[in-house]
Amino acid sequence: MSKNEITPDLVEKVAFLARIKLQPAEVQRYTEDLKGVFNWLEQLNEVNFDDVELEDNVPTLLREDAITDGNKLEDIVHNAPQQNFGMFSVPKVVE
Amino acid sequence: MSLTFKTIKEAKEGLQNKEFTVKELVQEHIDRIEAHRQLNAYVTDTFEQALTQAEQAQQRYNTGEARGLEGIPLGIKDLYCTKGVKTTACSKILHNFVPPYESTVTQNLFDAGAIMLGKLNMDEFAMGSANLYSHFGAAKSPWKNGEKHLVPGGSSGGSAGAVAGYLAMGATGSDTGGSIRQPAAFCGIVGIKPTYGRCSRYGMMAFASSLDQAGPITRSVYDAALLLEHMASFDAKDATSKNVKVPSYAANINKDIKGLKVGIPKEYNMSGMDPEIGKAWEEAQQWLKAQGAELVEVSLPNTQYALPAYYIIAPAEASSNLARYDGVRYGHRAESFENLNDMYCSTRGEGFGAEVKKRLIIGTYVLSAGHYDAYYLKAKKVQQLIRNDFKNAFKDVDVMLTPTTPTPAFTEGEEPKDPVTMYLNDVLTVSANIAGIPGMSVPTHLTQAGLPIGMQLLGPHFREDTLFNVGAALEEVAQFPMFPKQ
Repeated sequence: MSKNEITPDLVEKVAFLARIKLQPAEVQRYTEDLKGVFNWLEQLNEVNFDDVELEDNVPTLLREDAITDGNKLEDIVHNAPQQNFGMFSVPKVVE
Repeated sequence: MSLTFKTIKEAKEGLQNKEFTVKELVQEHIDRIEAHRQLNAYVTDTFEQALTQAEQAQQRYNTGEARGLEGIPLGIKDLYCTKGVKTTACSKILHNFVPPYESTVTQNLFDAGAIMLGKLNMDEFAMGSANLYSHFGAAKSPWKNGEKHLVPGGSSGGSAGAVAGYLAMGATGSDTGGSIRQPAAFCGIVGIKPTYGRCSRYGMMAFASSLDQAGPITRSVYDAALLLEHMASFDAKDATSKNVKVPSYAANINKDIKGLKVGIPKEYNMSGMDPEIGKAWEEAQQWLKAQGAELVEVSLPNTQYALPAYYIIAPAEASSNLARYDGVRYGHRAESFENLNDMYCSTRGEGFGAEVKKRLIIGTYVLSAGHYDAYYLKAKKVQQLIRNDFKNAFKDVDVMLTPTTPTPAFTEGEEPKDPVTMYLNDVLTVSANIAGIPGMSVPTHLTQAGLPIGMQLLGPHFREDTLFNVGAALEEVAQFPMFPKQ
Protein backbone atom coordinates (compact mmCIF):
# COMPACT_ATOMS: atom_id res chain seq x y z
CA MET A 1 0.00 0.00 0.00
CA SER A 2 1.47 3.31 -0.95
CA LYS A 3 0.44 6.38 0.94
CA ASN A 4 -1.09 7.78 -2.23
CA GLU A 5 -3.80 5.15 -2.09
CA ILE A 6 -5.14 6.55 1.17
CA THR A 7 -8.01 8.76 0.01
CA PRO A 8 -10.92 10.37 1.84
CA ASP A 9 -13.22 7.81 0.20
CA LEU A 10 -11.15 4.94 1.52
CA VAL A 11 -11.07 6.42 5.02
CA GLU A 12 -14.86 6.74 4.98
CA LYS A 13 -15.28 3.21 3.72
CA VAL A 14 -13.03 1.74 6.41
CA ALA A 15 -14.67 3.91 9.08
CA PHE A 16 -18.01 2.40 8.07
CA LEU A 17 -16.54 -1.11 8.36
CA ALA A 18 -15.56 -0.08 11.90
CA ARG A 19 -19.05 1.39 12.40
CA ILE A 20 -17.72 4.87 13.13
CA LYS A 21 -19.48 7.92 11.73
CA LEU A 22 -16.96 10.62 10.84
CA GLN A 23 -17.50 14.34 10.37
CA PRO A 24 -16.06 15.80 7.12
CA ALA A 25 -13.23 17.51 9.02
CA GLU A 26 -12.31 14.19 10.63
CA VAL A 27 -12.19 12.47 7.24
CA GLN A 28 -9.71 15.09 6.05
CA ARG A 29 -7.59 14.86 9.16
CA TYR A 30 -7.46 11.06 9.24
CA THR A 31 -6.62 10.93 5.54
CA GLU A 32 -3.53 13.05 6.19
CA ASP A 33 -2.59 11.21 9.39
CA LEU A 34 -3.01 7.78 7.81
CA LYS A 35 -0.88 8.73 4.83
CA GLY A 36 1.91 9.51 7.27
CA VAL A 37 1.39 6.34 9.29
CA PHE A 38 1.19 3.99 6.30
CA ASN A 39 4.18 5.63 4.70
CA TRP A 40 6.11 4.97 7.90
CA LEU A 41 4.90 1.35 7.99
CA GLU A 42 6.48 0.83 4.54
CA GLN A 43 9.82 0.23 6.26
CA LEU A 44 8.64 -3.28 7.13
CA ASN A 45 9.17 -4.12 3.46
CA GLU A 46 12.93 -4.02 4.11
CA VAL A 47 12.74 -6.98 6.47
CA ASN A 48 13.75 -10.41 5.26
CA PHE A 49 11.03 -12.84 6.35
CA ASP A 50 12.34 -15.90 4.50
CA ASP A 51 13.14 -18.10 7.47
CA VAL A 52 10.63 -16.78 9.98
CA GLU A 53 8.56 -19.48 11.62
CA LEU A 54 5.77 -18.26 13.84
CA GLU A 55 5.76 -19.91 17.25
CA ASP A 56 2.45 -21.27 18.35
CA ASN A 57 1.27 -19.01 21.17
CA VAL A 58 -2.18 -20.41 21.64
CA PRO A 59 -2.90 -20.77 25.35
CA THR A 60 -2.79 -24.38 26.48
CA LEU A 61 -4.42 -23.94 29.85
CA LEU A 62 -8.08 -23.93 29.04
CA ARG A 63 -10.81 -24.03 31.63
CA GLU A 64 -13.25 -26.85 31.79
CA ASP A 65 -16.30 -25.93 29.75
CA ALA A 66 -18.57 -25.62 32.75
CA ILE A 67 -20.84 -22.95 34.16
CA THR A 68 -19.17 -21.28 37.12
CA ASP A 69 -21.74 -18.64 37.97
CA GLY A 70 -25.20 -17.53 36.99
CA ASN A 71 -28.33 -15.63 37.95
CA LYS A 72 -26.65 -12.36 36.96
CA LEU A 73 -29.47 -10.99 34.83
CA GLU A 74 -29.98 -7.84 36.89
CA ASP A 75 -26.21 -7.20 37.02
CA ILE A 76 -25.95 -7.62 33.28
CA VAL A 77 -28.81 -5.44 32.07
CA HIS A 78 -28.09 -2.85 34.76
CA ASN A 79 -25.70 -0.89 32.50
CA ALA A 80 -27.83 -1.04 29.35
CA PRO A 81 -28.72 2.31 27.77
CA GLN A 82 -32.21 0.91 27.27
CA GLN A 83 -33.80 -2.23 28.67
CA ASN A 84 -37.25 -3.75 28.86
CA PHE A 85 -38.47 -6.85 30.67
CA GLY A 86 -34.91 -7.77 31.65
CA MET A 87 -33.70 -7.60 28.05
CA PHE A 88 -31.56 -5.21 26.02
CA SER A 89 -33.72 -2.93 23.95
CA VAL A 90 -32.61 -1.95 20.43
CA PRO A 91 -34.27 -0.22 17.46
CA LYS A 92 -36.41 -2.37 15.23
CA VAL A 93 -34.24 -4.45 12.87
CA VAL A 94 -36.77 -6.49 10.94
CA GLU A 95 -39.44 -4.63 8.99
CA MET B 1 6.03 16.02 57.75
CA SER B 2 2.96 14.75 55.93
CA LEU B 3 2.36 11.02 56.04
CA THR B 4 1.78 11.14 52.29
CA PHE B 5 5.54 11.55 51.72
CA LYS B 6 6.31 8.10 53.09
CA THR B 7 7.04 5.10 50.93
CA ILE B 8 4.82 2.04 51.33
CA LYS B 9 7.60 0.33 53.26
CA GLU B 10 7.87 3.25 55.68
CA ALA B 11 4.10 3.50 56.08
CA LYS B 12 3.81 -0.19 56.91
CA GLU B 13 6.48 0.19 59.58
CA GLY B 14 4.78 3.26 61.00
CA LEU B 15 1.44 1.47 61.16
CA GLN B 16 2.96 -1.60 62.75
CA ASN B 17 4.73 0.54 65.37
CA LYS B 18 1.49 2.49 66.06
CA GLU B 19 3.14 5.81 65.14
CA PHE B 20 -0.05 6.81 63.33
CA THR B 21 -3.36 5.20 62.38
CA VAL B 22 -4.62 3.97 59.02
CA LYS B 23 -7.33 6.61 59.20
CA GLU B 24 -4.74 9.38 59.59
CA LEU B 25 -2.78 7.99 56.67
CA VAL B 26 -5.87 7.82 54.45
CA GLN B 27 -7.21 11.20 55.57
CA GLU B 28 -3.92 12.96 54.79
CA HIS B 29 -4.07 11.50 51.29
CA ILE B 30 -7.66 12.66 50.85
CA ASP B 31 -6.73 16.17 52.00
CA ARG B 32 -3.80 16.29 49.63
CA ILE B 33 -5.90 15.06 46.70
CA GLU B 34 -8.45 17.81 47.44
CA ALA B 35 -5.65 20.39 47.55
CA HIS B 36 -4.13 19.25 44.23
CA ARG B 37 -7.15 18.98 41.96
CA GLN B 38 -5.25 20.92 39.30
CA LEU B 39 -3.24 17.76 38.56
CA ASN B 40 -6.51 16.11 37.45
CA ALA B 41 -5.15 12.77 38.61
CA TYR B 42 -8.38 11.25 39.90
CA VAL B 43 -11.51 10.96 37.77
CA THR B 44 -13.58 9.22 40.48
CA ASP B 45 -13.07 9.43 44.26
CA THR B 46 -13.93 6.63 46.67
CA PHE B 47 -13.08 8.50 49.87
CA GLU B 48 -16.00 7.25 51.93
CA GLN B 49 -15.26 3.63 51.16
CA ALA B 50 -11.59 4.30 51.85
CA LEU B 51 -12.33 5.66 55.32
CA THR B 52 -14.57 2.70 56.13
CA GLN B 53 -11.85 0.31 54.95
CA ALA B 54 -9.35 2.26 57.05
CA GLU B 55 -11.23 1.35 60.20
CA GLN B 56 -11.28 -2.31 59.27
CA ALA B 57 -7.57 -2.19 58.47
CA GLN B 58 -6.83 -0.55 61.80
CA GLN B 59 -8.66 -3.38 63.55
CA ARG B 60 -6.32 -5.84 61.91
CA TYR B 61 -3.25 -3.89 63.01
CA ASN B 62 -4.67 -3.78 66.53
CA THR B 63 -5.22 -7.52 66.61
CA GLY B 64 -1.97 -8.39 64.87
CA GLU B 65 -3.69 -9.68 61.74
CA ALA B 66 -2.40 -7.12 59.26
CA ARG B 67 -1.91 -8.47 55.73
CA GLY B 68 0.83 -7.54 53.22
CA LEU B 69 -0.63 -4.20 52.13
CA GLU B 70 -2.92 -3.56 55.10
CA GLY B 71 -4.13 0.03 55.15
CA ILE B 72 -1.98 1.23 52.23
CA PRO B 73 -3.86 3.84 50.15
CA LEU B 74 -3.56 3.27 46.41
CA GLY B 75 -4.94 4.78 43.23
CA ILE B 76 -6.40 2.47 40.58
CA LYS B 77 -6.12 3.22 36.87
CA ASP B 78 -9.61 3.67 35.45
CA LEU B 79 -9.38 0.63 33.18
CA TYR B 80 -9.49 -1.87 36.04
CA CYS B 81 -13.10 -2.87 36.62
CA THR B 82 -14.00 -2.15 40.22
CA LYS B 83 -17.26 -3.64 41.41
CA GLY B 84 -19.87 -0.96 42.01
CA VAL B 85 -17.41 1.87 41.25
CA LYS B 86 -17.67 3.68 37.93
CA THR B 87 -14.99 2.54 35.46
CA THR B 88 -14.74 4.43 32.18
CA ALA B 89 -11.31 3.89 30.57
CA CYS B 90 -11.61 7.70 30.41
CA SER B 91 -13.88 7.39 27.38
CA LYS B 92 -17.19 9.08 26.74
CA ILE B 93 -18.49 5.77 25.43
CA LEU B 94 -18.22 4.28 28.95
CA HIS B 95 -18.83 7.47 30.92
CA ASN B 96 -21.55 5.84 33.05
CA PHE B 97 -20.36 2.23 33.23
CA VAL B 98 -20.50 0.63 36.68
CA PRO B 99 -18.92 -2.84 36.57
CA PRO B 100 -20.82 -5.67 38.23
CA TYR B 101 -17.54 -7.47 38.94
CA GLU B 102 -14.01 -6.87 40.20
CA SER B 103 -10.81 -7.27 38.19
CA THR B 104 -8.48 -9.97 39.49
CA VAL B 105 -5.62 -7.54 40.06
CA THR B 106 -7.68 -5.16 42.20
CA GLN B 107 -9.26 -8.09 44.05
CA ASN B 108 -5.77 -9.38 44.84
CA LEU B 109 -4.76 -5.95 46.16
CA PHE B 110 -7.87 -5.64 48.32
CA ASP B 111 -7.36 -9.18 49.62
CA ALA B 112 -3.93 -8.02 50.80
CA GLY B 113 -5.54 -5.12 52.66
CA ALA B 114 -4.89 -2.26 50.22
CA ILE B 115 -7.30 0.69 50.25
CA MET B 116 -8.54 2.38 47.07
CA LEU B 117 -8.62 6.20 47.11
CA GLY B 118 -10.22 6.46 43.68
CA LYS B 119 -9.88 5.84 39.96
CA LEU B 120 -7.05 7.47 38.04
CA ASN B 121 -7.01 9.44 34.83
CA MET B 122 -5.52 7.88 31.69
CA ASP B 123 -5.45 8.24 27.93
CA GLU B 124 -8.74 6.97 26.55
CA PHE B 125 -8.58 3.16 26.34
CA ALA B 126 -4.85 3.45 27.14
CA MET B 127 -4.08 4.90 23.70
CA GLY B 128 -1.64 7.75 24.13
CA SER B 129 1.66 8.72 25.69
CA ALA B 130 1.01 12.16 27.22
CA ASN B 131 -2.40 11.75 28.87
CA LEU B 132 -3.75 14.41 26.53
CA TYR B 133 -6.45 12.06 25.18
CA SER B 134 -8.70 11.62 28.22
CA HIS B 135 -12.42 12.38 28.02
CA PHE B 136 -12.02 14.01 31.45
CA GLY B 137 -9.23 16.37 30.41
CA ALA B 138 -5.46 16.03 30.59
CA ALA B 139 -3.77 14.77 33.74
CA LYS B 140 -0.68 16.74 34.72
CA SER B 141 2.67 15.88 36.19
CA PRO B 142 3.49 17.71 39.42
CA TRP B 143 6.85 18.49 37.81
CA LYS B 144 7.11 21.78 35.95
CA ASN B 145 9.34 23.31 33.32
CA GLY B 146 9.36 26.96 34.34
CA GLU B 147 5.78 27.83 35.22
CA LYS B 148 4.10 25.12 33.18
CA HIS B 149 3.31 21.59 34.32
CA LEU B 150 4.89 18.82 32.30
CA VAL B 151 2.72 16.12 30.76
CA PRO B 152 2.82 13.01 32.99
CA GLY B 153 3.27 10.67 30.02
CA GLY B 154 0.72 8.04 29.16
CA SER B 155 -1.28 6.15 29.07
CA SER B 156 -0.99 5.67 32.86
CA GLY B 157 -0.57 9.44 33.28
CA GLY B 158 -2.97 9.86 36.20
CA SER B 159 -1.25 6.96 37.97
CA ALA B 160 2.22 8.45 37.54
CA GLY B 161 1.11 12.00 38.37
CA ALA B 162 -0.68 10.83 41.51
CA VAL B 163 2.25 8.78 42.79
CA ALA B 164 4.87 11.44 41.97
CA GLY B 165 2.71 14.15 43.58
CA TYR B 166 2.06 12.12 46.77
CA LEU B 167 -1.65 11.67 46.02
CA ALA B 168 -1.29 7.88 46.44
CA MET B 169 1.43 5.64 47.88
CA GLY B 170 1.33 3.55 44.74
CA ALA B 171 -0.92 2.95 41.77
CA THR B 172 -1.84 0.33 39.25
CA GLY B 173 -0.92 1.01 35.65
CA SER B 174 -1.17 -0.99 32.47
CA ASP B 175 1.42 -1.23 29.73
CA THR B 176 0.73 -2.18 26.11
CA GLY B 177 3.67 -0.36 24.48
CA GLY B 178 5.25 1.56 27.36
CA SER B 179 2.26 2.93 29.25
CA ILE B 180 3.73 2.19 32.71
CA ARG B 181 7.44 2.80 32.07
CA GLN B 182 7.21 5.99 30.01
CA PRO B 183 5.01 7.89 32.52
CA ALA B 184 7.17 6.59 35.38
CA ALA B 185 10.22 8.03 33.60
CA PHE B 186 8.47 11.33 32.82
CA CYS B 187 7.42 11.74 36.48
CA GLY B 188 10.65 10.59 38.15
CA ILE B 189 9.27 7.42 39.76
CA VAL B 190 9.44 3.63 39.38
CA GLY B 191 7.23 1.52 37.11
CA ILE B 192 7.43 -2.09 36.04
CA LYS B 193 5.71 -3.95 33.25
CA PRO B 194 6.04 -7.58 34.23
CA THR B 195 6.28 -10.58 31.93
CA TYR B 196 3.20 -11.13 29.78
CA GLY B 197 1.06 -13.55 31.76
CA ARG B 198 2.44 -12.56 35.19
CA CYS B 199 -0.73 -10.66 36.14
CA SER B 200 -4.24 -11.62 35.17
CA ARG B 201 -5.93 -9.41 32.59
CA TYR B 202 -9.39 -10.42 33.82
CA GLY B 203 -11.41 -7.26 34.37
CA MET B 204 -8.90 -4.96 32.69
CA MET B 205 -10.49 -3.23 29.73
CA ALA B 206 -8.75 -4.77 26.75
CA PHE B 207 -6.75 -2.64 24.31
CA ALA B 208 -4.39 -5.12 22.62
CA SER B 209 -4.84 -8.44 24.39
CA SER B 210 -1.58 -10.05 23.28
CA LEU B 211 0.45 -7.09 24.61
CA ASP B 212 -1.51 -5.64 27.58
CA GLN B 213 -0.03 -6.25 30.99
CA ALA B 214 -0.76 -4.87 34.46
CA GLY B 215 1.94 -3.46 36.70
CA PRO B 216 2.61 -1.11 39.60
CA ILE B 217 3.84 2.49 39.71
CA THR B 218 5.58 3.52 42.96
CA ARG B 219 8.20 5.82 44.45
CA SER B 220 10.73 3.09 45.19
CA VAL B 221 11.94 -0.18 43.72
CA TYR B 222 11.08 -2.00 46.95
CA ASP B 223 7.50 -0.70 46.82
CA ALA B 224 7.16 -1.81 43.20
CA ALA B 225 8.34 -5.29 44.16
CA LEU B 226 5.88 -5.39 47.06
CA LEU B 227 2.91 -4.27 44.98
CA LEU B 228 3.73 -6.62 42.11
CA GLU B 229 3.92 -9.68 44.35
CA HIS B 230 0.40 -8.88 45.53
CA MET B 231 -0.99 -8.04 42.06
CA ALA B 232 0.38 -11.11 40.29
CA SER B 233 -1.42 -14.43 40.25
CA PHE B 234 -2.35 -17.28 38.01
CA ASP B 235 -6.00 -16.89 37.10
CA ALA B 236 -8.19 -19.43 35.36
CA LYS B 237 -10.29 -16.50 34.11
CA ASP B 238 -7.39 -15.30 31.90
CA ALA B 239 -6.24 -18.09 29.60
CA THR B 240 -3.00 -16.20 28.93
CA SER B 241 -2.02 -15.87 32.58
CA LYS B 242 0.81 -18.24 33.48
CA ASN B 243 0.89 -20.75 36.29
CA VAL B 244 4.32 -19.70 37.54
CA LYS B 245 4.91 -19.27 41.27
CA VAL B 246 4.95 -15.63 42.42
CA PRO B 247 8.13 -15.12 44.46
CA SER B 248 8.44 -12.76 47.44
CA TYR B 249 10.01 -10.12 45.27
CA ALA B 250 10.41 -7.43 47.93
CA ALA B 251 11.94 -9.52 50.71
CA ASN B 252 14.45 -11.05 48.32
CA ILE B 253 15.90 -7.89 46.79
CA ASN B 254 19.66 -8.22 46.70
CA LYS B 255 21.65 -5.19 45.67
CA ASP B 256 24.86 -7.16 45.25
CA ILE B 257 25.28 -7.26 41.49
CA LYS B 258 28.90 -8.41 41.39
CA GLY B 259 29.54 -10.54 38.32
CA LEU B 260 26.14 -9.83 36.80
CA LYS B 261 26.28 -9.39 33.03
CA VAL B 262 24.53 -6.23 31.90
CA GLY B 263 23.80 -5.98 28.18
CA ILE B 264 23.94 -2.65 26.41
CA PRO B 265 21.94 -3.02 23.19
CA LYS B 266 23.75 -0.99 20.58
CA GLU B 267 20.63 -0.37 18.48
CA TYR B 268 19.12 1.63 21.35
CA ASN B 269 21.72 4.34 20.79
CA MET B 270 19.49 5.91 18.17
CA SER B 271 19.48 9.23 16.42
CA GLY B 272 17.05 11.66 17.95
CA MET B 273 17.98 10.71 21.49
CA ASP B 274 18.38 13.73 23.71
CA PRO B 275 22.13 14.16 24.44
CA GLU B 276 21.46 14.55 28.16
CA ILE B 277 19.70 11.19 28.18
CA GLY B 278 22.61 9.63 26.28
CA LYS B 279 24.97 11.00 28.92
CA ALA B 280 22.81 9.71 31.77
CA TRP B 281 22.81 6.27 30.13
CA GLU B 282 26.62 6.30 29.97
CA GLU B 283 26.83 7.25 33.61
CA ALA B 284 24.33 4.60 34.72
CA GLN B 285 26.46 1.98 32.92
CA GLN B 286 29.51 3.14 34.85
CA TRP B 287 27.60 2.98 38.14
CA LEU B 288 26.75 -0.66 37.55
CA LYS B 289 30.31 -1.43 36.47
CA ALA B 290 31.68 0.21 39.61
CA GLN B 291 29.50 -2.17 41.62
CA GLY B 292 31.08 -5.17 39.97
CA ALA B 293 28.72 -5.79 37.05
CA GLU B 294 30.19 -6.64 33.68
CA LEU B 295 29.05 -4.52 30.73
CA VAL B 296 28.50 -6.44 27.51
CA GLU B 297 27.53 -4.90 24.18
CA VAL B 298 24.62 -6.84 22.68
CA SER B 299 22.74 -6.56 19.41
CA LEU B 300 18.99 -6.61 18.87
CA PRO B 301 19.05 -6.18 15.11
CA ASN B 302 15.30 -5.82 14.54
CA THR B 303 14.76 -3.07 17.11
CA GLN B 304 13.80 -0.42 14.58
CA TYR B 305 10.91 -2.55 13.32
CA ALA B 306 9.31 -3.04 16.74
CA LEU B 307 7.37 0.20 16.73
CA PRO B 308 5.92 -0.14 13.20
CA ALA B 309 4.93 -3.74 14.04
CA TYR B 310 3.29 -2.46 17.21
CA TYR B 311 1.26 0.07 15.23
CA ILE B 312 -0.19 -2.79 13.21
CA ILE B 313 -0.73 -5.41 15.94
CA ALA B 314 -2.11 -3.07 18.61
CA PRO B 315 -4.68 -1.24 16.43
CA ALA B 316 -5.70 -4.54 14.84
CA GLU B 317 -6.44 -6.11 18.20
CA ALA B 318 -8.07 -2.90 19.42
CA SER B 319 -10.41 -2.79 16.44
CA SER B 320 -11.63 -6.22 17.45
CA ASN B 321 -11.68 -5.62 21.22
CA LEU B 322 -13.48 -2.29 20.99
CA ALA B 323 -16.19 -3.66 18.71
CA ARG B 324 -18.12 -4.46 21.90
CA TYR B 325 -18.84 -0.76 22.49
CA ASP B 326 -21.90 -0.53 20.33
CA GLY B 327 -24.44 1.25 22.51
CA VAL B 328 -26.47 -1.90 23.17
CA ARG B 329 -25.30 -3.47 26.42
CA TYR B 330 -23.55 -0.64 28.26
CA GLY B 331 -22.24 2.90 27.97
CA HIS B 332 -23.20 5.71 25.66
CA ARG B 333 -25.90 5.39 23.00
CA ALA B 334 -26.50 8.14 20.45
CA GLU B 335 -29.78 9.96 20.95
CA SER B 336 -30.85 10.20 17.36
CA PHE B 337 -30.33 7.67 14.58
CA GLU B 338 -32.22 6.29 11.62
CA ASN B 339 -31.73 2.55 12.01
CA LEU B 340 -29.63 -0.02 13.83
CA ASN B 341 -26.53 0.49 11.70
CA ASP B 342 -26.81 4.22 12.12
CA MET B 343 -27.16 3.72 15.86
CA TYR B 344 -23.85 1.85 15.95
CA CYS B 345 -22.08 4.40 13.74
CA SER B 346 -23.39 7.46 15.56
CA THR B 347 -22.82 5.95 19.00
CA ARG B 348 -19.21 5.11 18.16
CA GLY B 349 -18.58 8.33 16.23
CA GLU B 350 -19.75 10.36 19.23
CA GLY B 351 -18.45 8.08 21.94
CA PHE B 352 -14.82 7.56 20.93
CA GLY B 353 -12.20 10.30 21.00
CA ALA B 354 -10.05 11.29 18.03
CA GLU B 355 -7.02 9.12 18.76
CA VAL B 356 -9.11 6.01 19.44
CA LYS B 357 -11.07 6.46 16.22
CA LYS B 358 -7.86 6.83 14.27
CA ARG B 359 -6.41 3.63 15.68
CA LEU B 360 -9.65 1.72 15.11
CA ILE B 361 -9.60 2.80 11.47
CA ILE B 362 -5.95 1.72 11.13
CA GLY B 363 -6.75 -1.60 12.79
CA THR B 364 -9.82 -2.25 10.68
CA TYR B 365 -7.89 -1.43 7.53
CA VAL B 366 -4.93 -3.73 8.25
CA LEU B 367 -7.30 -6.60 8.98
CA SER B 368 -9.60 -5.96 6.05
CA ALA B 369 -9.80 -8.37 3.13
CA GLY B 370 -6.69 -8.37 0.99
CA HIS B 371 -4.47 -6.55 3.48
CA TYR B 372 -3.98 -9.17 6.16
CA ASP B 373 -0.80 -10.66 4.68
CA ALA B 374 0.69 -7.27 3.90
CA TYR B 375 0.27 -5.93 7.41
CA TYR B 376 -0.87 -8.15 10.26
CA LEU B 377 0.97 -11.29 9.20
CA LYS B 378 4.10 -9.28 8.48
CA ALA B 379 3.89 -7.62 11.88
CA LYS B 380 3.49 -10.97 13.61
CA LYS B 381 6.63 -12.16 11.84
CA VAL B 382 8.51 -9.06 13.00
CA GLN B 383 7.32 -9.93 16.48
CA GLN B 384 8.83 -13.39 16.10
CA LEU B 385 12.14 -11.89 14.93
CA ILE B 386 12.21 -9.58 17.94
CA ARG B 387 11.47 -12.45 20.32
CA ASN B 388 14.34 -14.37 18.72
CA ASP B 389 16.65 -11.35 19.09
CA PHE B 390 16.01 -11.20 22.83
CA LYS B 391 16.29 -14.95 23.24
CA ASN B 392 19.71 -14.88 21.61
CA ALA B 393 20.92 -11.83 23.51
CA PHE B 394 19.84 -13.23 26.88
CA LYS B 395 22.12 -16.23 26.28
CA ASP B 396 24.98 -13.84 26.99
CA VAL B 397 23.60 -11.39 29.55
CA ASP B 398 21.36 -11.39 32.63
CA VAL B 399 19.73 -8.04 32.10
CA MET B 400 19.84 -5.08 29.73
CA LEU B 401 20.15 -1.39 30.49
CA THR B 402 18.70 1.28 28.19
CA PRO B 403 17.09 4.67 28.66
CA THR B 404 13.29 4.49 29.04
CA THR B 405 12.48 7.38 26.70
CA PRO B 406 14.48 9.16 23.98
CA THR B 407 13.51 12.60 25.34
CA PRO B 408 12.44 13.99 28.70
CA ALA B 409 8.84 15.10 29.34
CA PHE B 410 7.40 18.10 27.48
CA THR B 411 4.73 20.58 28.45
CA GLU B 412 1.20 20.53 27.04
CA GLY B 413 1.23 22.35 23.71
CA GLU B 414 4.84 21.35 23.09
CA GLU B 415 3.89 17.81 22.07
CA PRO B 416 4.74 16.56 18.59
CA LYS B 417 1.90 17.34 16.20
CA ASP B 418 2.33 14.53 13.70
CA PRO B 419 1.29 11.08 14.88
CA VAL B 420 4.49 9.28 13.92
CA THR B 421 6.73 11.55 16.01
CA MET B 422 4.30 11.26 18.92
CA TYR B 423 4.47 7.47 18.61
CA LEU B 424 8.29 7.60 18.94
CA ASN B 425 7.79 8.22 22.68
CA ASP B 426 7.44 4.47 22.97
CA VAL B 427 10.34 3.51 20.70
CA LEU B 428 12.55 2.21 23.56
CA THR B 429 9.81 0.53 25.57
CA VAL B 430 7.69 -1.22 22.95
CA SER B 431 10.06 -4.13 22.24
CA ALA B 432 9.44 -5.54 25.73
CA ASN B 433 5.72 -5.80 24.95
CA ILE B 434 6.38 -7.29 21.54
CA ALA B 435 8.67 -9.91 23.11
CA GLY B 436 6.54 -10.37 26.26
CA ILE B 437 9.54 -9.78 28.56
CA PRO B 438 9.58 -7.68 31.76
CA GLY B 439 10.81 -4.08 31.73
CA MET B 440 11.21 -1.56 34.53
CA SER B 441 11.92 2.16 34.63
CA VAL B 442 13.95 3.63 37.48
CA PRO B 443 14.51 7.38 37.86
CA THR B 444 18.20 8.21 37.82
CA HIS B 445 18.91 11.77 36.68
CA LEU B 446 17.56 15.27 36.20
CA THR B 447 18.33 17.24 33.06
CA GLN B 448 19.91 20.66 33.44
CA ALA B 449 16.42 22.12 33.17
CA GLY B 450 15.36 19.85 36.06
CA LEU B 451 13.35 17.26 34.13
CA PRO B 452 13.39 13.63 35.31
CA ILE B 453 15.20 10.94 33.30
CA GLY B 454 14.48 7.23 33.70
CA MET B 455 16.62 4.19 32.90
CA GLN B 456 15.01 1.00 31.68
CA LEU B 457 16.00 -2.52 32.71
CA LEU B 458 14.92 -5.44 30.54
CA GLY B 459 15.08 -9.07 31.64
CA PRO B 460 14.25 -12.53 30.35
CA HIS B 461 10.74 -13.92 30.85
CA PHE B 462 9.79 -14.17 34.54
CA ARG B 463 13.07 -12.65 35.78
CA GLU B 464 11.43 -9.67 37.46
CA ASP B 465 13.62 -10.54 40.46
CA THR B 466 16.74 -9.57 38.49
CA LEU B 467 15.15 -6.26 37.52
CA PHE B 468 14.40 -5.49 41.17
CA ASN B 469 17.97 -6.33 42.19
CA VAL B 470 19.61 -4.18 39.55
CA GLY B 471 16.95 -1.49 39.97
CA ALA B 472 17.63 -1.29 43.69
CA ALA B 473 21.36 -1.03 43.01
CA LEU B 474 20.77 1.78 40.50
CA GLU B 475 18.38 3.53 42.85
CA GLU B 476 20.93 3.51 45.65
CA VAL B 477 23.68 5.12 43.58
CA ALA B 478 21.41 7.55 41.76
CA GLN B 479 19.89 9.09 44.90
CA PHE B 480 17.33 10.59 42.56
CA PRO B 481 15.65 13.66 44.04
CA MET B 482 11.94 12.82 44.17
CA PHE B 483 9.44 15.60 43.55
CA PRO B 484 9.89 18.10 46.41
CA LYS B 485 8.00 17.10 49.56
CA GLN B 486 6.03 20.27 50.11
